[in-house]
Amino acid sequence: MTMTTPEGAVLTVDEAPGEDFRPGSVGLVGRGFVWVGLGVALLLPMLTVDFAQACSLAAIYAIVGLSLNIVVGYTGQLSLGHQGFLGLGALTAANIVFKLKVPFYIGIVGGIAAATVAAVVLGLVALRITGLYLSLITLVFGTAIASSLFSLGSLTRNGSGVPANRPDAVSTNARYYLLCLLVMLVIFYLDTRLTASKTGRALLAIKENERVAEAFGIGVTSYKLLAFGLSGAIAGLAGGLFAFRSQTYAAQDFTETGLSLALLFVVMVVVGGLGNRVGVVIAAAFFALLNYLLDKLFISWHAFRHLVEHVPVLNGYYGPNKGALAGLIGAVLLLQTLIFNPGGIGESVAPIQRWLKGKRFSLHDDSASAGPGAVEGSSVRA
Amino acid sequence: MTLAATTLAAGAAPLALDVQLKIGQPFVVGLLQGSVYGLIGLGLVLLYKSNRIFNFAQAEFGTVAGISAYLGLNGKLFHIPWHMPYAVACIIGVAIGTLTAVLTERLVVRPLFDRPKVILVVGTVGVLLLLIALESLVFPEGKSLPAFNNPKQGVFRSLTDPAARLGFAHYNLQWEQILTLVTLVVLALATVAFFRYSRNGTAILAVSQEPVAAQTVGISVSRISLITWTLAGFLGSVAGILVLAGSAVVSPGVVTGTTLVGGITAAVLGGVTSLPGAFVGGLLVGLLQAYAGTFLTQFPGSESVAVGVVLLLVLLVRPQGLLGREA
Amino acid sequence: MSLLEVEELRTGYGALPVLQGISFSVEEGQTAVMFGLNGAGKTTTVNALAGLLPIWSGDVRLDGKSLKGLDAPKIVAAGIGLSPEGRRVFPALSVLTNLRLGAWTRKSAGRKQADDTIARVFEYFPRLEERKDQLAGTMSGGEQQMLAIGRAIMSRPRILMIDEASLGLSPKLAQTVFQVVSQINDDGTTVVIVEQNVGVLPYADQALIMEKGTITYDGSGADLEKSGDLRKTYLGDASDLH
Repeated sequence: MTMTTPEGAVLTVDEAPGEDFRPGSVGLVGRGFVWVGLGVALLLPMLTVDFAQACSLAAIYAIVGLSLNIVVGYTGQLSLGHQGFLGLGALTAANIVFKLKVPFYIGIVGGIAAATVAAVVLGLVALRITGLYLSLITLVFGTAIASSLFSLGSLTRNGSGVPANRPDAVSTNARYYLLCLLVMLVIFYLDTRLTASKTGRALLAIKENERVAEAFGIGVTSYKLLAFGLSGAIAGLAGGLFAFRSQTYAAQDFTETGLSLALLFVVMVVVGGLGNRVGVVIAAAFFALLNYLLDKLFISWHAFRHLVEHVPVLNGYYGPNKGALAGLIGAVLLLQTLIFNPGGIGESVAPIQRWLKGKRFSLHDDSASAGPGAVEGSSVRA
Repeated sequence: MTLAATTLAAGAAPLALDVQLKIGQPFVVGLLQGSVYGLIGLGLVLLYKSNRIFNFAQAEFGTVAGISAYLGLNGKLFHIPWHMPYAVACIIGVAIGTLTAVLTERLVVRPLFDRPKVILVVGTVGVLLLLIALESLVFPEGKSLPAFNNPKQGVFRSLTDPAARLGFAHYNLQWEQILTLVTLVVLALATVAFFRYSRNGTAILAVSQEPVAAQTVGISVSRISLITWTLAGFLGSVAGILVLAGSAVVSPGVVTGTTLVGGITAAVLGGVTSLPGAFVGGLLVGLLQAYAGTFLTQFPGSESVAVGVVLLLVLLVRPQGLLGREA
Repeated sequence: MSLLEVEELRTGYGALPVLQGISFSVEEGQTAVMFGLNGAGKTTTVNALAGLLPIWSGDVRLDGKSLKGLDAPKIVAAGIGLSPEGRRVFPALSVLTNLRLGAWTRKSAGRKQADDTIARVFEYFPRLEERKDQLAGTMSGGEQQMLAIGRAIMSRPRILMIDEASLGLSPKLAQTVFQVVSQINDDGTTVVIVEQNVGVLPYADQALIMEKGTITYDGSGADLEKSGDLRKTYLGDASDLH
């Protein structure tokens, strides 16, 4: 077989050009101030009990977002079953700790292992076939596991839920939030390492053009499988944290909201910006807190409440239908992002990000390498 | 005494009754459910052929149709109910469901046409979410659509009363179910015939096989895309009305919840590009679920697990599907 | 006035320009052959003429009427037919269905006319008649090439464009294809062929040579054949390949 000319698929990874620009003392102080401010803002939720609990969920969703981002953003595949991995992680972690009386962290590791195995098995079947079969398989997996394993009497204490007691060190909501935040930051850092590694470059090449990547000797299927397995592992980790956050494994968390949870994860990743870590984390936090914020809005803010009662359209979403309102916001943001703003939140905040890293503030990226996500807008078709 | 008499009466044909209940009844139920899956699968295959994507909003066109039909039946104009005939409400429902698909094509698919396929697929996910959210707005609580043979509004009220069962031995079969089955088979055959014999059907195949060559013979790819989505929307809407009439509670996202996974499995079993394959696949999924539900009652979720396992096995052994042939 | 006039045509893929403003014209009833190495812009040119690529600037006129801004279906209807690069037949459809799809823009002319045109195609390529019910994808490369050309004739174009008529064909089969194309030309259709095989030169009334998105030679085919220099410079390597 002859090598085909890799027309239009030049696999260059630009090194950031050695920039002369260094921020002056005012700039340094300004940047330092913002960094510290960000840090303080992240710790603020620890002061309250219920907001800390909501923010733990935000951190957990951010982990799921980073996990799904590896599949959708880096490999260009679609998973509609990530709630399955999350649930599997939660189920396993809670059951191991409750039944075998092992420490918390072993439960978490067990959850990771279970989700990884599930992801690898699904990936082995689906990723051999070209196209977007993974989206179908994961969708079927998500619904099947929700109606079977998650509801199995022996694993749910006949539906009454498996207790998941936090260890003493993180027993309060505030401390548990701190744990979730730290885990999220570690995953974030590992993800940075991943995209900078050989594996990251291979994934980028595969997403650009599978055939060309293959011609360069990249094992397309094994790299996709590696990425999907990794994604499953991270989702399983998030699942373990999820169970101990609510301090019980309850099947309803994954069965009743099943598909809509899976779709919400997709919304997070797309709205955040495919392949863009910072954007995905921001979007995940936003959607995790959306219902909490809407609750506050509807209950605490009387002016809004009056408005809602008297405007027919808003009226439809009042009360029991808050979930639908969140759904509407998600759907509109998703379609808006896809059609008008493919870079997502990540692209919008990129100038601030660069400034914080000590570069000049500019709306255009001078150093062209922005990780695998930067290829989304390219003309490659699957 | 009564107990003994019953036992004696049943004892006359215990085996036959058991066969009817455990083999015959699931067969009928599975066939009915399966033909709905087949219809959803047909729509999915149609769009896969023309756009090479999976449309996750396919079943939701059916919910839109069902909710529109309900609103048509029970709607009020200035607080006066308008008493629309049942058949008219259903036709309006199908029309609105189809229109939803057309709008999807124009507003979401068209702008994303030249982007990576995964983006287009996520676009259909966005449509699904948007439709569910909008349905909650106009239709906040679960209401049910009357059955076809409902005494007050049903289209066959003169034919039979709702309690009437067809006298096939002990099968629990009603006229509306026969109607459902006949409609589904006719639609499936019509779809296949459309591709075999009509000009536009052939053009859809041409576009799906060689889009560039299709343009060189003067076929407008964007017009074909619109035709395909219209057809798919129509199939999804009819499937939705058939699912919702009488049996289920109409609520946002209901048709997606009950038929999307089955329809997708049907399409994949049939090979994703084969129309007859999708329909046969649908029947297989329906039967599989019915028998799993009958014989594996001790496992929760045995119906969906059975479907998932078969899907995995088929993809493992025959990734091109059971009838993996473009037709 | 020439039948086809191309004036300062600029186009490309995405944001990448390929044609740097080319101009040429083709007279009615002639056969024009376009030579050039891979990547010279030949396929880009015929694709732009067929409406598959947008015209960035410049103009294309058929019989004096501008084709700028028309999409592919309208251009086919206006009278330009293309047999695209790589013999793109519809693989899972029969030969006959492929041909009938070729008459897509002539729906109003009716089935009778389509049947007449099919009969004409079968006269040119008797092999296709033998295989009319076979699936196009199961035929040999040469037969698929015949089908692609036959399908392009089905729209009864005033100009028939063939991209890479002989690529992958044996020299003998290539000559057969050239002879049939010459016959089509004799029957009144203007022909534009993109080619790397110099065997087509005897049939060329006009020859064009493209290099890096520009036209470097535009003259009679006979002149090009006589001047050995040009042949060596532009076609030496390419002719060795075939």
